[in-house]
Amino acid sequence: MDQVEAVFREERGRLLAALARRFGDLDLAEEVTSEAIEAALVRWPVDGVPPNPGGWLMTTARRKAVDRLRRDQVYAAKLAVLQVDMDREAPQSTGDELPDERLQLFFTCAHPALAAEDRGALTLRCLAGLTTPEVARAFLVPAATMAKRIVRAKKKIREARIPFRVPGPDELPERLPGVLQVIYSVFTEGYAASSGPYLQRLDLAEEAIRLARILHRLLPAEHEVTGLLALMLLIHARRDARTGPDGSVILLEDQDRRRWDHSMIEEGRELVVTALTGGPAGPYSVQAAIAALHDEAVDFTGTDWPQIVALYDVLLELDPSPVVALNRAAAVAMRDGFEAGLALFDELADEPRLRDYHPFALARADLLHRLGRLPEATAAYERALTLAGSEPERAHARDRLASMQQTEPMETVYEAAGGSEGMLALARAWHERVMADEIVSHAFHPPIEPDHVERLAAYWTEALGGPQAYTGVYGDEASVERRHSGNGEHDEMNRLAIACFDQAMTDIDLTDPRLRQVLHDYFAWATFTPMYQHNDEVIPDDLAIPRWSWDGIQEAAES
Amino acid sequence: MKYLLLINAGELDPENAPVGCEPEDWMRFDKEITESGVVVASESLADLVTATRVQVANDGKRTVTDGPFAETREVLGGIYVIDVPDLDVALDWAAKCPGSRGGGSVVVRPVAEFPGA
Repeated sequence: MDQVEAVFREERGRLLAALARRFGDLDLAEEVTSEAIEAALVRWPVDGVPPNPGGWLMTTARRKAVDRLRRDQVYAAKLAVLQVDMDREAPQSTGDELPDERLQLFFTCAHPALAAEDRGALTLRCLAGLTTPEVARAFLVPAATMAKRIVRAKKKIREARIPFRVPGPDELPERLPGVLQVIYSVFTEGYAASSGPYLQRLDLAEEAIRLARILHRLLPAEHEVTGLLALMLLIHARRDARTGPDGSVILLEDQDRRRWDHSMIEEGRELVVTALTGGPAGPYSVQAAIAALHDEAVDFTGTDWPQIVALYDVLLELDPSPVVALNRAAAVAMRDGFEAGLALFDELADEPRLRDYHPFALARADLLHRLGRLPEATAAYERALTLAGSEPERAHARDRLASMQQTEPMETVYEAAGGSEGMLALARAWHERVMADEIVSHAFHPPIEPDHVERLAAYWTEALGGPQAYTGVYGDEASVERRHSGNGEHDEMNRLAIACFDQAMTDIDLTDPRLRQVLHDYFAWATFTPMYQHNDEVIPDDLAIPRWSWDGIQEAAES
Repeated sequence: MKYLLLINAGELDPENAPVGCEPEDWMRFDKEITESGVVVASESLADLVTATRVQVANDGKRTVTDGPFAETREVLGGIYVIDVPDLDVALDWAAKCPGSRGGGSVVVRPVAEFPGA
């Protein structure tokens, strides 16, 4: 039974298209198509399948339509002109293969005179053969609402007389993108559901691919149709790796690439080549090429980011939209570094279309996180959480947020900066920088301890989460603060000392932005706070060395 | 099938003429559409300041008021009724109409058909 229905589902679209064209009315065409299929389900098991099933269905449906119009004169009068048209057309020779008239139907369903939200619904209803409740489920609206929308759209087609025709070659460039947009919007809803319990709705994505396959068969020479089909296949190939067993979100960078559908990728790649050959590339073909580069990469960092950025540059020319600019910025972050990527994100922040766009908020939060700008990252994840659509997207943003709050990373700043050797290298580099600076070097007159570098390294070791290398060895916090105090105002010198510190980090190849930031913050704080007492009388004896961690100064531990 | 094209002027220049289309554009368009044989009726409306509104209340009392004057920038400036095979052809004529340019628009309304009328 299911098999028979699958056969009829394909046949149904063809039949409907031919009848709609003949009678100019989708309602009548749907009604008699269903009746003809019902008749076939009753008759064929008894009489056997006729030699030309398509022709049989067509003749049966057409006869039922004529009966219906004879019975209902008012209805017939509404369609009068078209009936004349129909009679003028040569009666179809029942022996021939039924001509495929679904292309006309594609253009009618995606007609710009219809409401954008109705085009997808009508396309799914008429060409994918979904029932009205199925279409309602696809768009997450009540069946009654969807039924009303479909009735309204069909009424407009009939009464405003939207024709069932394929636009001429001169109109095609203007009209084809509309049809492709309808199919792609069905796909994107399947790729990332705008709400509901699931991230992906594979049935919808598959319907979109099925529609694109039909369209590709009907318009094999249209590069953008090929490009769209390729794009959807290359993305859909990752479906199994995109969610965890519990339905949670797995981002591209974390996906198990062995779980991708490699035969689908192969099919997509072949189509991309066709789509990009002979003639200027359209936006879907360029996006497909980008998807192919992702699919071909061994892993996320090994992706050909320069090529991806270059393709986004091409895409931005074809489709200068903020969403394309966002994707380009994300690729730039991978090619040129997070800082460069974030700068582009900040430029886009005021785009109205991105302000409430979940992927923008999430990607920005991830960049801030990677750059170690934790308070901003937290705020950005909170924003992403409020904008998330489906439940898994919300859960993903919540997880990220939670990981921000339990902040304590396993590694101390001391360890991340290379342990005792790292501390020593940093202290030495800073010392050299300082001694080379005309102003800051004044701080070292009168002469200081010959082992200043070692003492400084030991002090930092203790301050940044390492072992107790200073207290009890060289002295204690009070002695350090007293040595640095009582020198009056020297803000300018402090700032120069901090600049020397930043340069010193670069000198020893300390490049991780998050680590640089926390070290800089610590040094600047220490320079301006404990090491900057104007009067040594206020410094008590029992001070502990202030401890600094990834999120700043630590409360003194109870002992 | 008959369609009414409602031509709404967009931005007007200080002389209350639509921006972006010259009288020659209109004459060329009118000649083209008339010669194609699709025009059933066409009128261009006098200046909006000459408009008068009439309303009759339930008790039969007639109210006549000056105006209405446009609250938006779009002002109905003229109409065509054309008889063409389908909406696409009507939309093509609407797109050719100079009134669809310069911030103006043409609204295409199918004329209701009453069977037996």
